[in-house]
Amino acid sequence: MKSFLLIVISVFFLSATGSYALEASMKIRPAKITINSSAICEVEIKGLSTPPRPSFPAIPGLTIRPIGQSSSTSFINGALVRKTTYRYGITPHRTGTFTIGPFDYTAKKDTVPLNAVTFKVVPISQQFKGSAQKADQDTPSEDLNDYITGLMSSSQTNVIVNEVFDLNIYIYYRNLKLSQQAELINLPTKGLKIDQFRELASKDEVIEGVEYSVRRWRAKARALSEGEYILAPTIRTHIVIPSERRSRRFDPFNDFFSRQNTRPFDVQLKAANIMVSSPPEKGRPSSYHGAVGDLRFRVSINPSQLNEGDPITLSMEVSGQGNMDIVRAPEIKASTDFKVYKNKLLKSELNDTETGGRKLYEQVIIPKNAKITEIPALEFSYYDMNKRGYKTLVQGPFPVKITASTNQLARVVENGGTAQNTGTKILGEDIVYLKSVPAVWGNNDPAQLLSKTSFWSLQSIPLALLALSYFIFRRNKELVENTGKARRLKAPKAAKEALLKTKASAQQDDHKAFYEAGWHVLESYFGNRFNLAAGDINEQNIEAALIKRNADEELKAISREWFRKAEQSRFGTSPVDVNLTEELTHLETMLKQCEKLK
Amino acid sequence: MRKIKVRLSVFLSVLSCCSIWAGPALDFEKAQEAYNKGEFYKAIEFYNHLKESNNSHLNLDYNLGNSYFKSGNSGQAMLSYQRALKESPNDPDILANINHLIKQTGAGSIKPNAIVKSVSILNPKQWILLSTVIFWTFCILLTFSFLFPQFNFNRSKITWVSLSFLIGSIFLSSIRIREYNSVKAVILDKDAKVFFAPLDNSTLHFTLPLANVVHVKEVQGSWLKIQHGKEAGWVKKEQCAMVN
Repeated sequence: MKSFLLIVISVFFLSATGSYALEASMKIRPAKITINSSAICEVEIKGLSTPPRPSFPAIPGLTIRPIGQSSSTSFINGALVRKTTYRYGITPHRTGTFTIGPFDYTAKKDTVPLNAVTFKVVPISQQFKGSAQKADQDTPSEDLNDYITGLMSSSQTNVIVNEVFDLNIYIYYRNLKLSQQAELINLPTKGLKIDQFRELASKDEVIEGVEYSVRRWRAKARALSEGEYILAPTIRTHIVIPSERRSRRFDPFNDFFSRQNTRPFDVQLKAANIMVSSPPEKGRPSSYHGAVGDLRFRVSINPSQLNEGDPITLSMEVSGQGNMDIVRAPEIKASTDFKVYKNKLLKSELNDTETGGRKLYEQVIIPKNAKITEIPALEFSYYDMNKRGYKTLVQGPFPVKITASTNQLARVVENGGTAQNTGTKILGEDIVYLKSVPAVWGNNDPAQLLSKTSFWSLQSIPLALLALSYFIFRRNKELVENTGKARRLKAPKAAKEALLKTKASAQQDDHKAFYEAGWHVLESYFGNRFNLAAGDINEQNIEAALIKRNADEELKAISREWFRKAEQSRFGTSPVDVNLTEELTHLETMLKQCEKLK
Repeated sequence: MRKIKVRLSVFLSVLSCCSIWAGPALDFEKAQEAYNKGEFYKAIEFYNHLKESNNSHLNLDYNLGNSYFKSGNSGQAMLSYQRALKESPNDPDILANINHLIKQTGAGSIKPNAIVKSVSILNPKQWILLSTVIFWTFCILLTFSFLFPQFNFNRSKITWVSLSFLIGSIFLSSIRIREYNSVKAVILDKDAKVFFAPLDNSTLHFTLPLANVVHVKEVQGSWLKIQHGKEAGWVKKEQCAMVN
């Protein structure tokens, strides 16, 4: 049911709209204005929901600009009528009678005539006067430029590059009220550095018998390159439109809440010509780096007495009036005598326009040897605008006393500080960032190591090895030098192999082999033990040796017995009838007892 | 079942060992995270917790110093930097930060002489290790000379050269150890008063700025006898902290 109703209403509205023909009309209000005010032109279009905005041809003496639109819908004789109103602001530039139209207005293939409207622009002097008709006849045509004009001027017409000068803007006006708002248009910026214009106190001035109100602006400017500069910008002022109704009756709400109506008006300023030239090449000092103005330069050093390798700080102050924004203090250059760091701007106390104040620089230098007696002089040159010539300010040389020192004091170059030759611009200082997680924890306290028993025990190992090797060395040396002792020590080992054979023969009960091996035991043992040649080993010599070493009788008897049996067995025809095991025991006993001898 | 129990206990033991091992590193990283976020007090807490848990390393003292510095506590920052500097006197980062701190506070620091500075290329443990290596080398060379006389080692030369190195190394080690164990203190109060005697009513000798580093000569009750340049005097213990 709801859908049905909506469809019916829509069809009704569509049919009603379509039934009304296109109409257009134009009107202007008020019909008479003064040259400093503006009128509103309204174009009303009926019969179309979205008609296109009408456009006006250019009319000399008038500026027409759209200011808004409104729409409404109404029923007229049962038909739905859509009405759109376009509004235009009309600002005159001269007095006279103006006619706008007639025009043809075309929309959606329909063309309808748009009526002409006429209005009058009268001089400001006729404001609020009743009989405008008469006044029109008496007063000649006036232009708005007769009421407002302006110019730009420079404090100097011939300046040099980087010289600071003043730029002034003056707006002269009469019989008008200007709002505070003003915009500067088309101000050339190429080759110039112009600070923000600041408005000065306005004043009244009489020119050729006519009193004008004057608004003034001033800015500091500096030319960056040479050449001729023609400064002819436009300043857009806002003329306050006088309100007739307000003058007639006091309306506290309207006066309090309503905004001031203004109309813009562009004032073309009379041009200022400025010739900019470079500072003269002739007489230009090498220390000149573009500073211009009236400047001062001071330098101090600290300390003046120091140890070799200690840093010296040079504090430099440049102050005065001029292009302070680009002024930079000189610096000591790197040399064989000094290690230098780039100078740094510590403090800058400049005025808002950066054309005056002071700058404080600091440079750190380190003398490389104790023979240095002075810090070289520093030169600062600038172009003196008062004297129109270069001026060089010299500070120093500064005497220093450097003490040669073997005490190489800890010199820490400030964090981020970089020697001049790297060319790095230092922008700030801070502490060095954190260190990473230690791979191994613990400190380097030596007590931890020295108090450990294991540490000292470990140190005894190489000492023990050394002692042992020394003992071995000495023993070997002694054995080389004392062959008797060497042979004596070798005796048991030498007899061992033959003794094993003797044992084997005893087990096999082989008498001949037993005594043969036994003889070798006697020969190898006694030969080494008593340092005897192989041919000297016999019963007599061995007994003599035993006697010499105080051997007991039993040993001597065993020795004699063994030699006799061995010789009989080796060289005799009949075998010796003995128990070989007993004989072996006797032999071993003899060797053991011999070992005990000295 | 028993096998499972054994495996579980082994696993838990390994896990606990790992956690103990990873503990300091984890706290260290947490402290760094806090520092990076600008939570310097939190970072200080982490670093101090590590120190209280008997963890020590120059990186720990250095980072603690940075955290104190960023939190505006110059005195404690200098104390931590001095502790780090004790471990590595030539570390450029520590020296740079101390210099930065000195520039900010106007405090004075103790500058090592050339010998101490040269000896500081190695830490005390490294010096002891070097002496040990020289001693071992000497012993082993002599041992070889005795065991293998056929190589004709010049024992006299070995002995003199080795002993010279050993004596030199021990001498330099002793300098480094002495420097390591030298007693220093950092002033923690602004304009700490130094008196002529360890008495409250004694004559005021001079004042020391915050974060100033001084040598401690003597301790007497609640007073420390300090040396600042050529001047000596007594300062209250509560106004400073010992580096060692």
